Amino acid sequence: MLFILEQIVKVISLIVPLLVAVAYFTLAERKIMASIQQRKGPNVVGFFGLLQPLADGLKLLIKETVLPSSANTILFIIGPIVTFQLSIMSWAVIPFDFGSAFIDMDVGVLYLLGISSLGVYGIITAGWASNSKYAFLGALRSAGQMISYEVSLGLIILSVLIISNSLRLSEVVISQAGCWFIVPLFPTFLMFLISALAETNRAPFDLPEAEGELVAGYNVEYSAMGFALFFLGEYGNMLLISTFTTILFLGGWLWPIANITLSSIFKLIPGYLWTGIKVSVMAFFFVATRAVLPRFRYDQLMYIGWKVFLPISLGFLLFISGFIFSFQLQLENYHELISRDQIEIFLAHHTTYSDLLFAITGPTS
Amino acid sequence: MLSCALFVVLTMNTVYAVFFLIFSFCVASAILLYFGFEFLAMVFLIVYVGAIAVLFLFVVMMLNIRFIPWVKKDLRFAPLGFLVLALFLSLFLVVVLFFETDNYYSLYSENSSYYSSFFWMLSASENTEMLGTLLFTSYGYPFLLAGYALFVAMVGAIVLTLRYIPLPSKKQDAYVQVTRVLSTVQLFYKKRKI
Repeated sequence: MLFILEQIVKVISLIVPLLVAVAYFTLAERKIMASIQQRKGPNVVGFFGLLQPLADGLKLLIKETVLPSSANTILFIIGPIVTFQLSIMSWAVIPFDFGSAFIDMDVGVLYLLGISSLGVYGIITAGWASNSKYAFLGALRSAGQMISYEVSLGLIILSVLIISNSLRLSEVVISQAGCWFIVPLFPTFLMFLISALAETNRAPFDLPEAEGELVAGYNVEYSAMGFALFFLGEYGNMLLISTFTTILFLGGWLWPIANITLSSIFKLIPGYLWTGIKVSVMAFFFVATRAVLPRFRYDQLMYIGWKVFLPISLGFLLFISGFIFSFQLQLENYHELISRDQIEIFLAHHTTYSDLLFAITGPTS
Repeated sequence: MLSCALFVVLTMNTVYAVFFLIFSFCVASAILLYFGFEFLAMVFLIVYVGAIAVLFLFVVMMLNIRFIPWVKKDLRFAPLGFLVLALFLSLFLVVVLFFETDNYYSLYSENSSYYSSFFWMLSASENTEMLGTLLFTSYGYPFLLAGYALFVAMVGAIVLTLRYIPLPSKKQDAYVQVTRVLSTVQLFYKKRKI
């Protein structure tokens, strides 16, 4: 009984801050876009408009839920629920700090990939069930886009995993202790960013909700809470992929430079705050691209996905694996042996991951 | 899972049938997870649910068939189905009963230097690692063969769908567009010179 209660408290303590973060991400987006376009943005509700997302949420909650008479009711209701649920589910494996993931799975990266590939279903269900041409076209576009960019995204993630030699997310972060993966893998980092934009259906790849042609894409027929769930799910996915980028390329909760004098200053900022800072930078990137870039054409989108990113990421994967194999740079996994203190000591004194392994296992390894 | 599979066949609505198929894939993946094969479960989820079933759903949704009436003729293939099922079950049983060799253990017992650290390996190894070791050592050739079979299937599909488009087709070449000298720029340059 106590165990179940503990689990419930853990889940709630993960989900509630997440939802608040998503809500304030929408406000951040409106504010940043406003300042780029030299407007004021929301500034009426609360101090500097800080209560705007809550007011929006309340408005959506008390609006009338419209069920179109020609729609398939069951699937129409299931669609947004699935989207929202999947976007929350994937947060279970994300490590925010050393040892502070809800579950630190062996196959965490695969879990994230699997959940993100399931995300298509919510959208395609909604598009089909609302029995409307705009919604259906939007859903088809969205599904095609998500599937085709998942391929290159997977290959890019593989090239990171070959270096870190583990599917465990915390292990991926720890293996970046000497040097963040953004340094050796900068081209793949750029490709990952662009694929992430396409995967989350964001501008400049927001073709599924092209206002001019498709009204609003797959969620035309939705009102009130259904729309709110889609909205939350979409923005949750965006935050998730920012966090995922942080973990894969920007060293998760680690601070940038492993140096004795600097790390005594960096140590003052706790790990989860480092994660937070990096995620906010990524989220800012997402918003800024939307404000700056125009929308792509659909065939251009597919051209980039299949004919540019796929070959490059495949070639890079081969290059990375060949490089690591020929120079014998494989990392060993000792995640069960590493403690927090050891990592902090290591960050203060050493510079490479092999030094850390040397400190733990002795000269035998 | 069985009930899901049954509903795939029995339901009238094709889209519902695909959804039941997806659900049965999910349940299969959950069963794998329950047995402790996390890697296989996740791969199953990604490949079957994330890729194959989406394409099924695509096709079925595009076809615009809502209801298929239940015809009595549909049952005529049932004996054949049961025959195939029995064949696969017997194959499975034969493999389990007569070919029970544990390659992973033999891999390490052959090599004496590995053998000392074998128990440590067993306790620490994730099943991703185990699967990888097995696939690339004792099952290397079957693995390559499977890859080759997939490649042949891919080439076959491409050959079947390939259509020769007559040559003067309107095609956008991004490289040519970007590298060409813009006429407006030229004009500006000339004006400045005068």
